[in-house]
Amino acid sequence: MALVDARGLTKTYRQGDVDVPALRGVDLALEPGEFTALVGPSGSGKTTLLNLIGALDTPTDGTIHLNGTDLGAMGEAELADYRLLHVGFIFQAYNLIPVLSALENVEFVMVLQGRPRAECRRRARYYLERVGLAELAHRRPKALSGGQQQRVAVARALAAGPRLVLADEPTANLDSETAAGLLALMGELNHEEGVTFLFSTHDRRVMERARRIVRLRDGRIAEPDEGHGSHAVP
Amino acid sequence: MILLTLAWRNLWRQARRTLITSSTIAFGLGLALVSVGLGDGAHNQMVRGGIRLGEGHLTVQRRGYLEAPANHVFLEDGTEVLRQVEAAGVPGRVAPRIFLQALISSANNALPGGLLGIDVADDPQVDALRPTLVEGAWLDVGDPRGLLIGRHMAERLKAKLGARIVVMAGVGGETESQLGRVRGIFSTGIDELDSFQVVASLAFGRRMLPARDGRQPLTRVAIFLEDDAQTPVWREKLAALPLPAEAQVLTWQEMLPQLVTFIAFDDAGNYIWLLFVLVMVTFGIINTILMSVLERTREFGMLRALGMKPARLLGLVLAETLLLAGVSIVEGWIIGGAGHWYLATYGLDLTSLSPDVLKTAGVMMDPLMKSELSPQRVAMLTGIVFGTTMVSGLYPALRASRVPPVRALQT
Amino acid sequence: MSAALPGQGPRRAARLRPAWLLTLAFLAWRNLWRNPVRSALTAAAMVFGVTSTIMFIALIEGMKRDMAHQVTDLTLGHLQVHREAFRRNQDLYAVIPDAAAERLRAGTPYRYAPRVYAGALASAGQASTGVRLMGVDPALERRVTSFHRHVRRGRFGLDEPPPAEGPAAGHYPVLVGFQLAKNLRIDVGSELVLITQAADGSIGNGLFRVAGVLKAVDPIMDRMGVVLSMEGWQSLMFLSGGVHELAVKTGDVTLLEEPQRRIAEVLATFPGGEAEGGPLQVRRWDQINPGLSDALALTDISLTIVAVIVLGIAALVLLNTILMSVFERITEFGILMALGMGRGWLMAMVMVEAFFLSLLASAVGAGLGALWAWRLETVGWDISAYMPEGIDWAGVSLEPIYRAYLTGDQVVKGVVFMLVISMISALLPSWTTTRLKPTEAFKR
Repeated sequence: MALVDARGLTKTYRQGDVDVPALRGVDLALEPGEFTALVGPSGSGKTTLLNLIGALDTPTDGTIHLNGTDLGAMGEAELADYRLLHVGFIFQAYNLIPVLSALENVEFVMVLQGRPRAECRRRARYYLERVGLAELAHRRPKALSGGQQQRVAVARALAAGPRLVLADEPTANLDSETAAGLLALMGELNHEEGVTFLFSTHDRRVMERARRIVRLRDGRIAEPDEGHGSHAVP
Repeated sequence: MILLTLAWRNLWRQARRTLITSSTIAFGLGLALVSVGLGDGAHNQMVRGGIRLGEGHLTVQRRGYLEAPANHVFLEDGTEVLRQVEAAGVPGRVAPRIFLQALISSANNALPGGLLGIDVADDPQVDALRPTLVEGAWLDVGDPRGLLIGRHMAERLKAKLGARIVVMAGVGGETESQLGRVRGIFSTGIDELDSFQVVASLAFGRRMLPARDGRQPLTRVAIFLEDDAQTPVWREKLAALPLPAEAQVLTWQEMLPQLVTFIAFDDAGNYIWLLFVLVMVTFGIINTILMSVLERTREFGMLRALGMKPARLLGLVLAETLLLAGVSIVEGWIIGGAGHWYLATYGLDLTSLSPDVLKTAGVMMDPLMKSELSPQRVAMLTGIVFGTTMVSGLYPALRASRVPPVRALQT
Repeated sequence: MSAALPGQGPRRAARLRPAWLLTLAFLAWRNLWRNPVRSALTAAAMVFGVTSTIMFIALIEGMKRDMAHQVTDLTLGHLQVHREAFRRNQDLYAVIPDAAAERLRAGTPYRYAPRVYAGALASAGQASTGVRLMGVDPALERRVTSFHRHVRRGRFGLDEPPPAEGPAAGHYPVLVGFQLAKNLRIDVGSELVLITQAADGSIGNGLFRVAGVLKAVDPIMDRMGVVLSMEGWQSLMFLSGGVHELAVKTGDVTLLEEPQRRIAEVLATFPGGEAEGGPLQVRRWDQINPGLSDALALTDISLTIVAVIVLGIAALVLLNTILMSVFERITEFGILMALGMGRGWLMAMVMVEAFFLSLLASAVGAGLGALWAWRLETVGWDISAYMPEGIDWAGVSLEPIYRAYLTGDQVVKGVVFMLVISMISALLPSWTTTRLKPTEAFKR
């Protein structure tokens, strides 16, 4: 069964007196384990699509099913729970809570999930180690470089055990070397854990890494997918 | 628990702002503590003075005297009332008294005054007045015509020790005159007493009141309790006694309504201006907390995106407010505590002012005002400040909880 | 070479120029409204501070005036003349000779009201109490004090001679203090018996009729005051040769040194030995009643303290706001500085923002405060529900209606205070802008 099944997704924003259509009837299906990029120029609707899939926002029309569950049928509270348990986020910037250390940031979502303290600690340490930042565990975000902050964000996203990780322009603020490193890391994790990664990007490096590319233009899927993503991790 | 950790650290992100805000709140609380402490101290002292120099914690007198004091409104069977009260075992002192509004005259002048007949050995007035004698001596038990007058009255009557004084009073349509001799002159510093009070023995007073069937009249029986707090308890007990129908048991509050009203009024005034201070501090608090919330819109959006429910965000901001309140209150206690301690020990010295300034509501205030704070007062003021702070944080907390998760991805 | 083309010279940071002040003001005003909620809340605190300060000041001023008026206009007058022995001991025989009063009337332009005093026993029905009699000349009294208007029930009526017939034939009219009326259970029309020790040592007595009950004057008058005409008083006391007191009214209650001097000159021409009862003395109202001046001074002090505290808190709120707004705009300031705006400019801009906000708030506060104070002046604040007997303080009794007294300078004072305190509290945060380095600002 597809992990993500979106049909006829439409989203229209109201800006002042004008209706701005951001998405016009998008169909998208993602299989578990995919490493896919949503690509398109500004205004193409990729961020909007990501929002909808991540249950951050609700569509004007259309349906989304995540792992068989109809998101449209869920209320605010249920959507929040859904995000908490099943979806991980990595933003372009401002990912971390400034007053928590790296370790505490990674633990944060797990604590919200209600996992026992010891388990949170254990998993947080593991993932921090995994992204190579074990020695910086007690540093606060302002003492970390941009790349390091993004790595902590990756650790946090995965430590919470989601099925789907959504990344919105994660490499936009990074230099080439750091960006490459981050992407490699995410690729490895996708490989190891089988977590689905969906990027929204216009960074060539990301596109090269992605096993599947979905192009968007003016709120619609522009061309047939390039490459049909592996359904499972080889 | 992580919520509290987060809240605490969030508070100190903007240390200067937080400190200024908490100091403002603390100042408000400290001010309230000092101001209320002084007020309470002055009021309590006025009450104590009014009771001690007046008619005690409880008074038994004739019904109708309170509304319209008059010489003929006396307890006919005064001794019976006295006997019953003494038999009831009151923890304190019981003082039988006769009081008459009279004209006091000497060869040289005649003045309005009050004749107070007391048990010259036992009455609590002895303790209050005897130390203030400037001439002569206290009355002897066996001296039925001895009188003590105040310094001002002595001057106006041109009466020296041994002078003859006539006390003239009307009782129920009849006018009685009695002759007495000045045995001592007192100077209390209280204008009321020095100008109008004449102290005599009960025997002297009795000569002015008609006695029927061998019953000895009294104007009142004044009861001075050892423990103020026992007043309501003993009021009930005394009211339950089989006193003569004409007798009425009154508390000091009923005897000194002007004082009670004044205290209520003064308190109200104090609280009103503290309210003003509180309102302004509230504006400051709302401002600060609201700004800190609006600054973090993106961050809150992120927290929502991660799956935090709106209620928890509300809780976070409220927790921040709670901790802010806690810090401020501790600061306020320190400021207010220091102020109170100083004023309780050294007091506010108004002795340089003319004594008239301290006359109000029928009593004299002590020129050295000392602060008194009861635990209940501190709790009440703290509670008010705490509550206000928390209420100020409500709206910003609500704003925070309404941030949609979409905000996280907006640039 | 460098001077050939204009604008080629080395760039200097923009100095503060008068012409740019207008631009700065414009910028500052706009900046205020970037965050309307915050500006509104801050302004609200300041408005509140200014309004309440003005109201307090006006209210206290009103009370002070009432008290001073109560004392001077009502009974005391501007100055009073006594024999020393009367002043000290209420010596019945220490009188101001009639000749002295005549000479004063002839030699000075002021108005004089004679008074006489004595103690008496008053009885009505079953009740009886000692009282203080005050005899006045109704016609002369009217010209010096406003006593004749100070009647709660009934009328002044002392001008009228006792009726020739009827149940009250031969009874002089009297006025009684309100507390005395309560205690003796008498009211307008009641009969009152007065017994005295006359000047010759005999017992004087007579029947009198209550013409009116007085409003609150002072605790003694309220509780034991009986006022009657000179004739009525003399019918009991038979004192000849003079009066005990002359109350004096001059043109201006604030300029009393000169009148005091002139009166003293006249009085010095009369013998003042022991036999007469000491020298004749003239004193100003504030010398007679020092307690009142002290009380008024005390209120001034507490008012200042209250105002400072209230406005101080408002200024603290402003301080906090400015700090926040400066912090938010650090990047912007950095850009401005990189573009060449000098530090002085930045600091001036922040100060001007603070000034505009305080000015606005003060104006609104002044308006509200003045409005409220004016209402309190005209309508007054009636507290008779809580304190039906009024208040007594420092030997003066006040009716239970607070009236404010609004003057322009109170409003100005309130506004200026707020502005000054605001500007002082704005100094620190605006000064911190001058310590910024442009690159630091960008890092944020």
